[in-house]
Amino acid sequence: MRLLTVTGLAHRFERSGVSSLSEPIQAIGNLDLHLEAGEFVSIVGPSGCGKSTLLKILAELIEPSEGHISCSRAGGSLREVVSYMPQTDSLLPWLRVRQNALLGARIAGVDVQNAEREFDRLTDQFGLRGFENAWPAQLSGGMRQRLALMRTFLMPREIMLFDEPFGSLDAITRREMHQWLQSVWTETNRSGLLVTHDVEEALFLSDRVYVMTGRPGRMHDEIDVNFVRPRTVQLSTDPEFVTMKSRLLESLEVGMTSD
Amino acid sequence: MILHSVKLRCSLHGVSLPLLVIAGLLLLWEILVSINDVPAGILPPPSKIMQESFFLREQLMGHALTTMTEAVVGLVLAALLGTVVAGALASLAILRKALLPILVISQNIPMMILAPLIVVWFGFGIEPKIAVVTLVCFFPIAVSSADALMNADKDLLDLMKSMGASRLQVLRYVRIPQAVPSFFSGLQIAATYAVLGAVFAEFSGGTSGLWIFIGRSQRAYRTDQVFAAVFLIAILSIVLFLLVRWMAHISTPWNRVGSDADLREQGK
Ligand SMILES: Nc1ncnc2c1ncn2[C@@H]1O[C@H](COP(=O)(O)OP(=O)(O)OP(=O)(O)O)[C@@H](O)[C@H]1O
Ligand SMILES: [Mg+2]
Repeated sequence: MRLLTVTGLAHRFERSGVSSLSEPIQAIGNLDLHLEAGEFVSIVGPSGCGKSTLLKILAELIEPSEGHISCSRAGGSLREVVSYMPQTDSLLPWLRVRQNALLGARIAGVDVQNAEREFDRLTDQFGLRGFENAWPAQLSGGMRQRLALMRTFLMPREIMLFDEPFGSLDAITRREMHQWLQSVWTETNRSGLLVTHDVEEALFLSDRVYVMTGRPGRMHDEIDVNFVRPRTVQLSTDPEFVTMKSRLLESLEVGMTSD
Repeated sequence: MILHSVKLRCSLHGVSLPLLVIAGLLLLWEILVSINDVPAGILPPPSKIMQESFFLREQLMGHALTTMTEAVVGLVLAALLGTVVAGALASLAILRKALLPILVISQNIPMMILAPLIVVWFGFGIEPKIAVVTLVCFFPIAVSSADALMNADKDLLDLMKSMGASRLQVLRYVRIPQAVPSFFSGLQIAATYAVLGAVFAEFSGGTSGLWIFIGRSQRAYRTDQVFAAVFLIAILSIVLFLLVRWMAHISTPWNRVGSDADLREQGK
């Protein structure tokens, strides 16, 4: 079932904030996108093509200049359907790990007790056992991102938006996190939209991958990824996987230069 | 063990070193005064000052208590007033435009002029002195807090917004905690003004307080007593400053991570 449909989305930043650069910036131009219920979709694109802007629009932090977004669930606001993980981990330095993780649930005013139980159940899976009462400043980069992910999970929302959730991790930890996210994912029946530079990450995690062009970003290519789950590390050497990967890389390159 | 010795060295630098420097200066003073035979009425040696301080300890304590009460009560009121003003300035642009120039001007009126006026309005008791201290101290608190309240981290604000947080929740989870360190740095600056502000306020009259004591000593040509009071003023200032620092330290535990006290707190 179709959960989210975006058509003809465009966004211009009218004032770039820098006075010498005061001409508007067209970040996104005529972008179409859809997301099915239960589907995990990735968007890969070059730096600066408007990926973060797209997610911010979906999280209703930015009002798009043009285009139409429709959601089969939202009564009034998309915000009631979406939980958003920003590109910066955005942990609150003055809240301990536990309180940070529960922040979304607390703000949403939903069953906080249930979220607390979930937190206790998930701390091992998220690799945060023993750090429940630590301050964010005491965590490693990977732990910070896992905590931000956990906060996103504990918000009771049907669509999760991830903006480069593993951006600051080393290759090995990144792979572990992919495995882990996949296993967590199979337990939920939610939908995910992930933005990344990493083609392999996109293929490993997704049911479908979009490729964006350079700025102004729009969709340039789309690929269905039908490998059976659970997927293993060996998948990255699978010939079909390798073919897909090179196609995506090629699309990325063509998309970057076509404008 | 290594950690322990590092800590020891730190505390040596933090507390003992300044004390050592002060002790050295006092010693130099003592020696210079005695070899040059400076009359005590002009510059008494530190030993004489301390002797006199000890001799007059009860009288001095009484005056110091008055001055310290003025300073502390004034500072506390300034903290309250500063917070309220900061909240108002941060939340209402109109107030900001209307009030900020007046506040800045008010800070440029010298206390010397203001103090006698306030005495005319409030009398010779302790209240006018407290009012002066409050006036001197609330400005740095209000300005630094208002700034911090308004300039909250954009990413954190976005996150809160995406969660559907109300204005009150944003205030509670982001703006206020983020402003706490700034509030305390304003309060630290204010604390350094507080004792001096109280002494200045006493300029305009009264029966008790360190400036009153200094005035009396001066008229009696007791330079040693004047110095005793001056030393006491310096000590009170430092004590108040350190007190505020300690409060800042206590109220921002997330800023002192890595200290073993914090790890112990977590049972790790
Ligand atoms: N608030 C803003 N004001 C003005 N211009 C902006 C703003 N935010 C982003 N932009 C511009 O919009 C374009 C797209 O930015 P965006 O952050 O969406 O890129 P991105 O694809 O997420 O890049 P990256 O992969 O590096 O995170 C960039 O050229 C950027 O300079
Ligand atoms: Mg981005």
